[in-house]
Amino acid sequence: MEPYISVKDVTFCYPDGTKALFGVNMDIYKGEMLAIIGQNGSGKTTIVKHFNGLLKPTSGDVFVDGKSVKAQTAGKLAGKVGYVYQNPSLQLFRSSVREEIAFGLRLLKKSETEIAKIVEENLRLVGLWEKVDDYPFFLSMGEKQRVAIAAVLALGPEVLIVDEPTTGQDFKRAYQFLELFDMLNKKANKTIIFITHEMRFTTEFSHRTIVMANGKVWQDGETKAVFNDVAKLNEALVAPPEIVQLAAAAKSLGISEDVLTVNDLYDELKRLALKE
Amino acid sequence: MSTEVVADSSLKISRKIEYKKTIFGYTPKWTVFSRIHPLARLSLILIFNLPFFIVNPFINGVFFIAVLLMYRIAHIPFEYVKKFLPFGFTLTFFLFLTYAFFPSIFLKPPYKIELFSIGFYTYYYENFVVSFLMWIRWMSAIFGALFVFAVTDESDINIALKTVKVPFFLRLTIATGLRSFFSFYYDAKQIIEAQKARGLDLENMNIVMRLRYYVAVMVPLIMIELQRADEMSDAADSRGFVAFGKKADAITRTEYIGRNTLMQAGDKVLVFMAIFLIVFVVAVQLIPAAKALIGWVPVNPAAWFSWLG
Repeated sequence: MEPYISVKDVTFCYPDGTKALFGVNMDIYKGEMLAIIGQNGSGKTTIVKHFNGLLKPTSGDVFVDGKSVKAQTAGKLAGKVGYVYQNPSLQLFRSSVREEIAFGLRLLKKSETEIAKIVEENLRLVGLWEKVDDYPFFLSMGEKQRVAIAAVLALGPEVLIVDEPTTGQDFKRAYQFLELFDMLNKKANKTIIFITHEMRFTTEFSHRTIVMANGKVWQDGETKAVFNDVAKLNEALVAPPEIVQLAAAAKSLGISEDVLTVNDLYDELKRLALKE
Repeated sequence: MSTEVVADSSLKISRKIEYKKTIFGYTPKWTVFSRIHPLARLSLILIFNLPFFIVNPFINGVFFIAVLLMYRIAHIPFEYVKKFLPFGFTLTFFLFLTYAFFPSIFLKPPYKIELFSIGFYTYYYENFVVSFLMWIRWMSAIFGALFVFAVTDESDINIALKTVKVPFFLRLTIATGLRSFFSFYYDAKQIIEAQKARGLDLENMNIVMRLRYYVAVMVPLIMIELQRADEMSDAADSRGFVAFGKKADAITRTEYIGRNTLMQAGDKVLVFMAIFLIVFVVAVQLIPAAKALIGWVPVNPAAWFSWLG
């Protein structure tokens, strides 16, 4: 299977001389739900900004749908790779939620009938159809975030990049966001790449996890495999969630190493209890 | 500021590379200009504004070349200078357009040397000369002032103001304003990037389309900046900032510059020279021979070559 995004030996240096990436390689396939984790300054945001052409590699190359991003503008790549910022206020400027979603579609010269259909579809998808005529600035932070997601989704990208969607959100709201991305991944078949510091959400929602450290890919694999290698995670200064640490500590009691979530541990404990 | 130690190919000489964040972006700190005291650096603006008192295009041309050389010496990347080129082109266009239709105090009509005609309109050599005289002095002054701000950051300006005993509250206000310029610039950049990510690629649009869609940047920018101004004002209040007099608890406030602000002899000479040159150029115009040199206008095309000798 051909990767949808292919990163080949990418290095990147910011204009001030800061070297942010050193020979990064990774492949991302259609339909994945992928988490990128790592310390601040490890290169997470820098690498994903290469996927939609916001940054161009200093050396190496990034291919999206088989084409190099070097020859494509971010505006064109927006139809393939959508990027949702942590702060939705950066993207909202229209007088209604409907106009906000329709804006990008008008740039693509879609017909008004088509626009109306896509606006409704996407607002229903993110659960905001009832707010269609509201002024975006008067929505709650969570709702603004959903409008921003719908505006990006409306362009029909195959991949959705979400940069730290849970920062500054309470647990319930953060969880709802991850559920929304999970739904987009499962129902709308979107490839989701999310950057997060919340290990709990990573273990619960991502199929695959990439750990970045010092501008390099430190670990890349199935989420279970990545979080089971606690020693390597610690070297990248990333701590697994408490539940994983607890399961690892209780390994001698017969708890499986595959525990990643509270439900996994509950199942393990039930299995052990039934065994006795 | 970014710091990195690099070595040349022979690995014999190493140099510390440092950058400062200016309105141009990150500009090198290792050049001679960083060793000049900030007040002396700011006084260069006076020197680059001398062309406003001079008409002679040859003298002003020397100033313009000197400005361009300074950019080279200070290692200002051309891509930073490029950002200001559209402004330069716009100014050039409007200057030449204005003097194509209106007279100038340097050369009064009737104009005689015809260059070309279109219908009822005739463009004269004199139209061109007066446009050029204005253009060269504006270019020296604008790119000169921009150069000074390309090698001067916000803390440098603070030091310069402190040196001339500007009160703390005023310095804080100016420094905050300048810092806001940078945050405003970076916020705008981030918004442009965010809009690009949803398909609005302003950088690849023509000027008309760009103007039409700039609202997509301005609305979020104004909202964010208003919010920031509110937060900054709350932060200042919560730290007991008062514009005049002492803080409520009467404790002397900490100076936050944290750098040596003393001027060296060379710096003082530079500041004195800048002030002297302005006074000199104004005063010397009282002497007829000097006035003739400073106010020389190439009235006919051959004059350009005769002046060159």
